[in-house]
Amino acid sequence: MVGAKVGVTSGRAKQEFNDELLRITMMVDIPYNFSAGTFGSIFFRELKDSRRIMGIKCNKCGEIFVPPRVLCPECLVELSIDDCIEVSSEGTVEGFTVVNFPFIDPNTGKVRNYPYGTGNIKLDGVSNLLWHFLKESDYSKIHNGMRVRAVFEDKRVGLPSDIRYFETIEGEGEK
Amino acid sequence: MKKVAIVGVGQTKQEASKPHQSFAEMLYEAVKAALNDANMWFDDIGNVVSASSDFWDGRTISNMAIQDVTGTTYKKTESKVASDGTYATVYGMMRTLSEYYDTTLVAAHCKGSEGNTRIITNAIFDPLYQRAIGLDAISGAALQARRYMTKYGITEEQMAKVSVKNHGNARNNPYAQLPMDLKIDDVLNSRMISDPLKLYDCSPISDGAAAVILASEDKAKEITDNPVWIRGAGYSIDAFYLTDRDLAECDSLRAAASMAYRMAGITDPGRQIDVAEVYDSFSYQELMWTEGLGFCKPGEGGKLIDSGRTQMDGDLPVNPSGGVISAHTVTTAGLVRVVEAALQVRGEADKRQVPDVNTAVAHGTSGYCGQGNCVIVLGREK
Ligand SMILES: [Zn+2]
Repeated sequence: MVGAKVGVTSGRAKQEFNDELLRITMMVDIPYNFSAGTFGSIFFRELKDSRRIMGIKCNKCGEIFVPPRVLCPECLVELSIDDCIEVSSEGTVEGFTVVNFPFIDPNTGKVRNYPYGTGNIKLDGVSNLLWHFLKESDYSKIHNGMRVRAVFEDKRVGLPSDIRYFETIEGEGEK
Repeated sequence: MKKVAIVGVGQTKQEASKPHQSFAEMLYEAVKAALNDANMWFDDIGNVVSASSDFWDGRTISNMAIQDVTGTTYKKTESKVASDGTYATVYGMMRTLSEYYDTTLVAAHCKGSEGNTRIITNAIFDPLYQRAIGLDAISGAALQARRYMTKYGITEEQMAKVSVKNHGNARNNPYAQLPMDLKIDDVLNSRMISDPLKLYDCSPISDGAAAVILASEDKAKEITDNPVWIRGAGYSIDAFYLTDRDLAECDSLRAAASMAYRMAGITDPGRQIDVAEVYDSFSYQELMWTEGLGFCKPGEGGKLIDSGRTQMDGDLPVNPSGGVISAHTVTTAGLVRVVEAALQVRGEADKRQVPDVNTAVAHGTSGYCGQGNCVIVLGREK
């Protein structure tokens, strides 16, 4: 009936009304095509084509950062592609966490197997850290100071996951 | 009250796509240009106000990713306006007026090429009632254009004249995306997008960045002999639901303009303003915004374009840069209007320069169909 009112007044009626409250579900995927830019393209291309991890050396402070970027984060000097250099694929774990909840990989849309180990890795000679997977599956063995090296996928596509994980270098950096 | 001046401006070329730059690298290009323009460097900047959209950037709190390229490594304060760059300019003006900071860097960027325009512009609308009907930037604007034509007898030819004028003006602007030599029939015969809007009635979605450096009255005089003064600023917002508004009217723009004009001491905008840069996402919007800015009476935007006054050789040129219809960097296009208006006041707009500019207006919008509006009056004198 046009003009009829829906009245919700008494406590009992409110409770019944609450039971009927609706939710509207939306399933919207928003695709993005992020530009890697010139520096990012160098990083991912070298990873894919040559199994090389690229960084950039500031020509003012001399510090090396991974991945390459347009400004030195320390002194804000503008850097160029000529400042890009290969860095070591070995380093030291300076922080870690074992992820123990389901995580959706944004590149695939699929839930990644968990738990999995990740570490903040200081590549030899580099000033900042690179966050990546750790191979070590005995999580009690993961510790700061452990030495690791990058293991590259055989089939690489130009994504961070072209590095499969960092594996432990036995005999170095023991607890 | 003390005044704030623009002492440096920078912008990138606005293009369909800039694959050689991430959005932060793209923003750095504009910031560097503004710093060079003001003969300053990062350590001279007091604080930063940015404008961008998480949806367009494809990240949560996306301004966190621009800190290096706006120099906040030096532990400055930065805060973001998730809206158009004109609002960031007003916010920056307020911060400078607080006298806590001598200088403010205002920086805006958008990479329209990275997201999906249909999905993102649909997502502003109400998810319960309107989103699923398909409202987005274009269909919403089509509703407004139709209503504007119905109420005031605006014709498709008058709308087309805006497109011809602005794409033509863009030929003088090396930063514009779509310089074009169009005739009215080209616009009228272009592909129908959403009746009555045709392809050349609509702006593209662009990649680009802009930056402006603001300084306090005392500091500005130290930095430059050619400061551009912010004489007035105002902003206002209308109802959220398009269905609650009379879309033929731009009441919030009238309110924003009146706030800015009062502050600037402007009583007859159609005579006292020498040039305007307005946010014409669609051809018909320039006609509406000229009404809202008081260049003519409500409903007379069509007559105004017919009169020729808003052409480059008229007495009140509108969008010498080519306007937003020639390059649309969402959240950034309003700051581009500020940059262009400042260049006009400085007499440094090269081939798109309007002679003898004393007073210029920059206009930005936020939301759809001009829901929110921001108006900034710039002048050679305080
Ligand atoms: Zn450095």
